[in-house]
Amino acid sequence: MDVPAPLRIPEPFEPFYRSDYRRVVALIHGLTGSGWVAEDIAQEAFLRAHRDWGSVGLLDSPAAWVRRVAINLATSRFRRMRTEARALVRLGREATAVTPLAAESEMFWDEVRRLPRRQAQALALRYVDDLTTAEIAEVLSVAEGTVRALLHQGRTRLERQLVAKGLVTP
Amino acid sequence: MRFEELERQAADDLRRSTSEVTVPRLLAGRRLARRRLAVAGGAAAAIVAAIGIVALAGGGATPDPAAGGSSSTSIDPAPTTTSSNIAPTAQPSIVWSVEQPPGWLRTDRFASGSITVTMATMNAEGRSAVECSDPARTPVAAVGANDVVLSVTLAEEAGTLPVWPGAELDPRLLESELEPDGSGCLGPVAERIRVGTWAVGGQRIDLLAITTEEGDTALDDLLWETARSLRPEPTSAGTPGCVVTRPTAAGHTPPDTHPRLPVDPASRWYGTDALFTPLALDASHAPRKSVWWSTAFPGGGIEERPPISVVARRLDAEVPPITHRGPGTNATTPEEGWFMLAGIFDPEEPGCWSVTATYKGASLNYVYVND
Repeated sequence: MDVPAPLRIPEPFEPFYRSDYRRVVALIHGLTGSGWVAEDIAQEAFLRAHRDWGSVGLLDSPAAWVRRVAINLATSRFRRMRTEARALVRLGREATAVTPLAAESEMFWDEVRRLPRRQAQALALRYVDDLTTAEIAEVLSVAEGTVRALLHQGRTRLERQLVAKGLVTP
Repeated sequence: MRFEELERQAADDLRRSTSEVTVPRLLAGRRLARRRLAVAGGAAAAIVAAIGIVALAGGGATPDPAAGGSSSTSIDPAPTTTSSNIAPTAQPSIVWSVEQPPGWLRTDRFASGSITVTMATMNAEGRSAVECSDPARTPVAAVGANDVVLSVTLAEEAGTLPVWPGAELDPRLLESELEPDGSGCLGPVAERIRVGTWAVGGQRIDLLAITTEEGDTALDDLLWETARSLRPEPTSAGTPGCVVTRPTAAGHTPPDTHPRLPVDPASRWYGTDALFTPLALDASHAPRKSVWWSTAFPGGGIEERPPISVVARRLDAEVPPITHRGPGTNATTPEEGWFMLAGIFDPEEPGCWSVTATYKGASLNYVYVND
């Protein structure tokens, strides 16, 4: 007789949302340079997670899923343009609470955003979320070896850029 | 400073930057009623269509297109996304009816006051009408993998007005292979965009087109977002003598160091190289954060706190002005470059408002009505 598979029930959405929301905002802030775009994209990503929580909540890592969605949203040029336009209007009602970065940090993240897209994403996930290579690989849907290469190439290139700008010593 | 040290500092700084961010309340109140929609004679035998019903008035009846007739319901246009920083706007009630005429997937009608918006959606059989020469491109207005919105009309009691070709199509559509009848092709993107805003009978509506393979949820969102965008057209009634500021059709063209157009396709730059800001072409100015561009602004990396001052004065009533004496702060986005933010918002209090900014000897003024 077939034994029915045990019924899996997702963890509650709310604690996940509360624990990860600010980190996702920070991640997208680093990748776009805009606090309000980051908030808007994070809301959209969590909205999607909530909408499909019956399946997303059963994934091994809903956190990786929501970060992947947020990164994809931030990558879409059309999406970003629309988000910024909408956010500008929305700001008339409530400002972003994302605190401006110190000048040196702002310049550092400017240089991160100048990196090739995948390198910038891998580095942002490492810097903001302190993710392991395996976790970054899951978010970006690439092999761990690829992540190691992205991180190495990204850091090397970033350091070179920052040295050229006189922000760090060789 | 060594590289590793700056790495740590910048990462810590970025994490700290969101410590004050409020986690918005998410999705309090949105309910989606899903219903399987049988397609009569369509290539797609059964498409799951989602009919978004939010806070149904009058018993919560859900339109049933599969019945072959028509049904309708009143909709209280509560915001679909209830994030705390999205304020609900006053809107008239909307009656949404769905029919399934022969040969069509569905026809949705949104009626509000004297205005009716009709969106006719055809299934895959009708898609040949908007084939794209480049297979990597997506037919404009395709809803889901199998559906195409082929016809949209705005009507009022006096008659029917075709929506497209319209007056102010989204320029991003014009950059694509748009045909005179409004059909066309976009690049291989999955994106919902605004086709344009139309005003008739004292009301206006944002028509949305979508190019996506997302399927039923996208269809639901598209229809609902279009419906809830129905709103009274802004007027200057009650504020006689208020001459609002409109940018020219082309708008101010800044030098190549700055974006040629604002990100909102319904806006144009207003001002001079020394100081400019986006304003809506139709003067439908929504109060917003005070944002300014200038060729004299070297960017936040060099000038973190730009000396910009802004004052907002009400022209039709004696109220104290709202003043930001500066300095302001700064921000940057990939499409807009560096710009300045003054520490105030446009006033949301109803009336005729004059806003004047001053930066490094240059001044710019605009007037708007908040009604």
